[in-house]
Amino acid sequence: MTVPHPAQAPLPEAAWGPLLASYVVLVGLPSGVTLTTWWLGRQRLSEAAAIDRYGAWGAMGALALISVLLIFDLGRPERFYSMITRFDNLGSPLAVGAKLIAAKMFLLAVLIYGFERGRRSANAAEPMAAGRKTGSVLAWVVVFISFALAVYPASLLSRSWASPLADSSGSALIFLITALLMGAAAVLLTVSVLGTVPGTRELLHAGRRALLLLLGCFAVTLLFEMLSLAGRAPDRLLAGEVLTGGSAAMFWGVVVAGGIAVPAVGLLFFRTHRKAVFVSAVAVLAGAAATRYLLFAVGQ
Amino acid sequence: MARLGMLVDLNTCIGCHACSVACKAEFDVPLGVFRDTVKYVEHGSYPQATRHFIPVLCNHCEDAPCLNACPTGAVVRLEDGEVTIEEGDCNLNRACMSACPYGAIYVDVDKGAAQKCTFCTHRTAEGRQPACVDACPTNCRIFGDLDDADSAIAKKAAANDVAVWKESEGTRPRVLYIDPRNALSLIADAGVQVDQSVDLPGERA
Ligand code: SF4
Ligand code: SF4
Ligand code: SF4
Repeated sequence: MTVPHPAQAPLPEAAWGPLLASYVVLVGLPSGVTLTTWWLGRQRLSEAAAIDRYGAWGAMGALALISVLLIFDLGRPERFYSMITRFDNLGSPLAVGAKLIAAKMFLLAVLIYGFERGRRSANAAEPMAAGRKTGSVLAWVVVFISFALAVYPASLLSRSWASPLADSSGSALIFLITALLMGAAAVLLTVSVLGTVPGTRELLHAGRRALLLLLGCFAVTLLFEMLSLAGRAPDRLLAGEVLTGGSAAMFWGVVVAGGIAVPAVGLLFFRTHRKAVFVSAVAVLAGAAATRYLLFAVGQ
Repeated sequence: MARLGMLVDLNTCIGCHACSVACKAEFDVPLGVFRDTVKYVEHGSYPQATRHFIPVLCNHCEDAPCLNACPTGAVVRLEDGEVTIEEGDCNLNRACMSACPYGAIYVDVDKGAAQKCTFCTHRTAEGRQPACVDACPTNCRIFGDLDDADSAIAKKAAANDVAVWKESEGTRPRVLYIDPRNALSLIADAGVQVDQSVDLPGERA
């Protein structure tokens, strides 16, 4: 008996190509940066305010980048605009995601304005105190939007016949963890490069702990994802493609070895070496990006 | 309010492609993409080998994944149930194409929009038949109101066992088939669009 492939291919080529794949991979980065810096900013580190500020700028930069990707994919800027302004179908994950991106960019702009004004003001204490409550509420809203954007690719791709792996039980959790991994790795990478900023040591310490914890969660989630795919025959075909088929090199080489094993060793055994932290962070970024790409592409 | 649909009798389709050609001409469909195609599927082995001709088009699904996926609301359902795309509202994000399990939607580069079969609303509004139905030399395509017990399509559907393409998708197609030899199961992984990557290179007119 032949087992039908889980991904039917009613079109000769998948409707979403490399630009959408890059979008799915990169949309996790701003969410991860926001969630990581928000968490770090509440760890009673000496540079908490600076972390929040850098986090807002970093997330804004990454969101601007993925917006450009979307505009290129759609072909014309006004097409991107219509994605934000049309409210006809809020049952479409793409519609909701685009509006969340726009809302997050707007709120980040307000927060950044507050941070920069507070920094430049000669008498910073007063306006900051007045606006602190508003800023704190906005920061919470941004955190919730970031969480939503971290898991939303699972919902987006599960509606497409071309991404059957994104329809699996662990997909949303993997998208969330990889977003957090990307964010934590980007922060560690920045700190390891900028080595001389105040508070580097405690930031590196907190970032390293967070990354190790996330790597452990990631490994366990991948394990159970593969076990969940071992049940039904069409799912086993997907698992086969990942573990022994066309995507095996990327999975074992970039995700498992590069994205988990290498950084785990680097962060556990070379904790004081800034170069090791740098290499580990780059490896985590590559592993998380490859995982998200596999969720997009396996089965096409 | 009618429930428009189409019934294709695979007993009488001769695979002449008159429907596809008429549709192409009616809508000036660009090269390489289709609203309607006819699948040729060979089945069995000598001396029992046989070839099936299966015309395929958008199913105007009752539960249409394309309609649910479109973020701009460009995919709409008309009063009589036809699923169509409002060109001006389409921003070419291709969510409908990613969602449609039948590969019925294509990108029209000239129009800058996704396009698909409309059940020829412009013709049916004038009381005419869809172009593909008019062109079929064996009358194997019947178009009409599935809810009108006196319509030709409802009578023929009631008098025969009818099947739909990819029933397991749960889309409840309005394109029905009389398929006594279970040919539809042979195209369970296929779509309306045609893979031309294996075509020999040649000059295009
Ligand atoms: S066949 Fe495809 S394009 Fe046509 S209504 Fe169904 S989902 Fe939409
Ligand atoms: S109904 Fe009209 S648009 Fe649809 S396949 Fe037939 S000719 Fe083409
Ligand atoms: S025109 Fe009629 S007979 Fe010819 S291929 Fe189309 S459906 Fe079949």
